[in-house]
Amino acid sequence: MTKAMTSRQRVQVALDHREPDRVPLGIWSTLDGYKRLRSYLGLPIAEQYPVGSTTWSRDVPVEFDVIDKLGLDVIRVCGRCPGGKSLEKTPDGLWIDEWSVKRKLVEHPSGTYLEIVNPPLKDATVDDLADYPWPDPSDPAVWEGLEERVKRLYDETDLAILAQFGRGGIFEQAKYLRGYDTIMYDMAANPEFVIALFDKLTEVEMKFNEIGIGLIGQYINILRLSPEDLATGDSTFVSPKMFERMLRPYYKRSFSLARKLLKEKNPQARLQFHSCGAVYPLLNALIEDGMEIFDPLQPRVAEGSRPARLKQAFGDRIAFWGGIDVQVTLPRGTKEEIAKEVRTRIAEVAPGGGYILSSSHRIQPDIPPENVVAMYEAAKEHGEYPIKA
Amino acid sequence: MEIFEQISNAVIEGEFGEITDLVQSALDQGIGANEVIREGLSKGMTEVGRRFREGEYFMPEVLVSAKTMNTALSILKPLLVGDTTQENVGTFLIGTVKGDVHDIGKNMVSMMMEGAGFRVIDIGVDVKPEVFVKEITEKQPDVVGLSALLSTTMISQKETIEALKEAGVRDRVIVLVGGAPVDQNWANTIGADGYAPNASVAVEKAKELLQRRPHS
Repeated sequence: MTKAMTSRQRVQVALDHREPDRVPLGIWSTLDGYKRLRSYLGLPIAEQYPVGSTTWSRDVPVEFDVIDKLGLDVIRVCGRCPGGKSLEKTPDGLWIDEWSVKRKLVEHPSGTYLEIVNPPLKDATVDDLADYPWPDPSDPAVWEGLEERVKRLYDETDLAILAQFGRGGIFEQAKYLRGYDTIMYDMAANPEFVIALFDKLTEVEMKFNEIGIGLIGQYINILRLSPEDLATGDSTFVSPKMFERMLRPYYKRSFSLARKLLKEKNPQARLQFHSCGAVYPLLNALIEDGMEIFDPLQPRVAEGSRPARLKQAFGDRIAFWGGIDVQVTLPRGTKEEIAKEVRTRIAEVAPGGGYILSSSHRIQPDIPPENVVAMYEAAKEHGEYPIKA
Repeated sequence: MEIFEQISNAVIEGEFGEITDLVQSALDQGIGANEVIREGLSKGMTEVGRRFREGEYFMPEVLVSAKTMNTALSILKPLLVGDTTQENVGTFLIGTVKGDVHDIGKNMVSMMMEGAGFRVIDIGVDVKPEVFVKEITEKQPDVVGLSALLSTTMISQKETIEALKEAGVRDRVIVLVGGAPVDQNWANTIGADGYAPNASVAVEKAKELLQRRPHS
């Protein structure tokens, strides 16, 4: 029997495409899902949480006490919001983020999401981009205390550390700033604007990563780039041809700088890229350009992009994060159904290493906390290497 | 006729800069607005739908084609007022269900339905079940579309169908459900008449179910 590893060793071995003692465990959550989970675990709930990249579901940094209590292996860290503020409430009751994107709180049957109203660049021209109040990566408020906090995590815990410095990304942030349908339309009919916007967003993303890596690159195991969504569950948003022409050059630029700087600080650290959906047709390009971990494995997307297929096609070149379904199994499944899915996913993806198990997206507000716990319990029970079929 | 083919091609290729001239040229030739829509625009959008369904077209291409169609419709629609020969495949009412404000899927379905000759009534986003009941009672559509993007709001599709039953209007309409987390299984569970995985299939489904419906 293999000797038990520390969390950091376990994650690193898995990312090196070798088999650790058991499948490492990660977490990613919405604010509402996180509060539910804390309350279920009997942990105190703060009045306010700093939200990371301020998207509709409010990314929340999961604190050490939750990681510890659930026996997870990866902790996520990020900088603070530029301007020293977090998501702010405007007098008209809307929430405004560091990109000046306004959102309203919309109630749904099991919680709330922040939904964009009037995208700020909806009617903008190329000239308008020069005067736009872009978030400033060099703002000291973003980085205040980060080095100290992360060094402490590195010295005083044995957790693997995942860091995300970027606060919006390229295609994804363009959707928020311009409006989903407008940017999709622009991709076909208004390429000059798209190019100008992507250029600017890539510059911002790269600057965040450059500064962040400079500060704490030596402590982190995983650098997560700003999440992008390149596909729906059925297909990519744009054709692979259009991706090649209009998106890939920006990812290539962003990946290559982040990778170079990261490896200088810590050659073992790995680059993680996120896109939901049926992304199979784009993965080879993203791998060629430097992606080392793909997040998230999603079992309910179109067949060609499901976990077993991705492992079989790309498992020797990249590692995977995610895998346990947040659309049906986690919100509505029984404990047995959850365990069954965990076993299936482990059998499909864990052999040979290269897998960090987590929910297939953020823990959503409609996921009962006991189901989250059941997922991790099952993963510990069935995740020991060598994996039994 | 050549002009129909040119109009239909302009829609397929998304040539919104040229469509106005083409439509004007058709009208100058004495062709009725209704015929321009049926033989030009609708044929073009049907092909756009096929290309989308078969993975040749993606969202950007569909949106540019839709803009081309809408540019043409803004010229043609005013000419249809009082035109009794106007063909109407049926009336389609659509909304995004309660708690969900996402409208791209809904808008794509609306465009495709309009392109296929349906009269489309879009009642917006975050639509409460009682509002669906009221709108259906008033507007008497043939087909109703319930859209939901989120796994947390698809439950509102179920609530809406229940509200339609309670109000006694459920059997007057064909109910289609769609959206990212929705599948046939869910459609069966909540008692919808049909499910479509994308906008183009929604049109096929609506037409098919309308044909099968016993004429009252």
